[in-house]
Amino acid sequence: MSIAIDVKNLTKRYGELVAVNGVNFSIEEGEIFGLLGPNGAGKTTTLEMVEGLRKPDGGSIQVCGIDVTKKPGDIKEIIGVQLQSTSIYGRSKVGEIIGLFGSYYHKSLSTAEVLYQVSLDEKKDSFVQSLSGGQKQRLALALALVNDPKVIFLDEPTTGLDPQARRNIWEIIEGLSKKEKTVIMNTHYMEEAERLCERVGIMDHGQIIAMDSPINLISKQNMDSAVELTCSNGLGKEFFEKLPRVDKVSQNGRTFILHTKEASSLLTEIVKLQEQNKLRLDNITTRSATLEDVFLELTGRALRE
Amino acid sequence: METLIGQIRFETKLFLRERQALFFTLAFPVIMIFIFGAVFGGQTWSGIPAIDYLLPGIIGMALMMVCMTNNAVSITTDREKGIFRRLSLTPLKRRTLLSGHVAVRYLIALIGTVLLMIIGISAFKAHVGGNYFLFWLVLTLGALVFITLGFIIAGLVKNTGSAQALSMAVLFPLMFLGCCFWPLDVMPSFLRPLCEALPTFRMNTALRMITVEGAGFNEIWQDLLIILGWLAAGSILSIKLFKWESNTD
Repeated sequence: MSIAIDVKNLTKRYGELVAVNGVNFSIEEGEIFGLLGPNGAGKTTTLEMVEGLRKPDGGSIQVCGIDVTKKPGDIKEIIGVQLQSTSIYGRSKVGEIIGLFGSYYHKSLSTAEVLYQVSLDEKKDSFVQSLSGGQKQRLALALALVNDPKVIFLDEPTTGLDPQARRNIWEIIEGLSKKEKTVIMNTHYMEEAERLCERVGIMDHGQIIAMDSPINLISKQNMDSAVELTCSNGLGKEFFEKLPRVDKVSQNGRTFILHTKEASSLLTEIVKLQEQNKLRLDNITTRSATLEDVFLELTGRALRE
Repeated sequence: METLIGQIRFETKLFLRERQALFFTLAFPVIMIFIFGAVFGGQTWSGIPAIDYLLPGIIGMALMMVCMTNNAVSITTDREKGIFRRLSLTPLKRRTLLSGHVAVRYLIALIGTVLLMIIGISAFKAHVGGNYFLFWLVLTLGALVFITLGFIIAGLVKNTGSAQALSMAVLFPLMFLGCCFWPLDVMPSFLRPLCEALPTFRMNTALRMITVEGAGFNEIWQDLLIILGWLAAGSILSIKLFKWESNTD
């Protein structure tokens, strides 16, 4: 496998603020790589520097062997980009705008092929302004695919969409991975990263603080299952840490997340404690650990605060 | 070249689908000529029929509406919506994008002019004689001056709303001080030097001289010179002020 994207020590400053602070990652051809992090973590700035849209203050970027910092124009034919807030001429028709974008490239797919890939066949003659949010997002994806690119950049492809529209977009992205496309995407939805990405870089304050496959990230943190509870009798973190079979505890206000490998015996224990009035619960749920837990563990904050 | 033609075709379609733009650039000047024609049609101003004053003036106004106002507003809108940003990620060259954009405004301006002339001649017996090449030349240089003014406006403002407001603030003085709808005689004498420096005034004067008096190059070269001066200054400022992004880093 050869390397599609290689980023070393990437840095971007806006005055005092260091938006991206020495980011390193490399992505193999055909891989789906995700940058996961809260808003303001520097994901968009990172992505836009790799696309050649913003100039970095330091570091190097190679996309398919092309030095993007020196020749940002050279990658245009081989990349496809969906920006975070792509707005397209509202008065153009779906088919027209796809055809127009196709005409910008030496090599492009037919409008019908692109429409089929994003399931917008029936909307070919509709005006862009009449599309729903999810359809607009699929159109933005279509415009990123029109030149049959090697590398595809997706910046928060499902933000603001309803669950059904989100699943539609996920299916399209999964289709891309079957076509051996390299995809780099930003998201602050952990479900999205878990489902789509082969590897995830967790980003916070301009840095990648952990990078691995979602499964490895979760298992490395010793978090197989999580019992999440809200406690109303003012107990501290130490109380839960002393419980048997608890590996780790993270706290977020009155809510505690207990990580364990034996969720059922832990639950029995908790029920017992409540019967003895040692513990008063407002709420309790159990689930498998997620990237959200990894993020909370690594940063002490929830992803969407 | 193929890309440019595609771009022109696409932008023309968008323009024709936009009712507000169509109204102000094509329908509004037509309404104006009917109103002015009906009110002043029989009169004579400074020795020539009023309609012969009004027709070039209304053409000048129509040119400003499409080449200046519509140009400034659409550039600002596309920039504000991030369309330029998205396009900058494709191999489309910026000069092709802007050439297409300008060409469409110019084409619409020509169509509007022909439409106004047909109405002026057939409904109000306007005199359109003289040298058609010179007429076209003055018209084209005037259109280009307004296009640079549109670019300057787009370069100065932050959003579509202010582009619209600033265009209006530029359009009205150019229209009224430029004597689009009346002869220079009616202006107070202290304003006349200012009027005579404006591109609208020079364009109107040259067009009237050509259509009414059959003037040749020798009679209008001073007007052409001043219009060219505006074009040169306008082009330099357009390039200096042009912004591809609304908030640059």
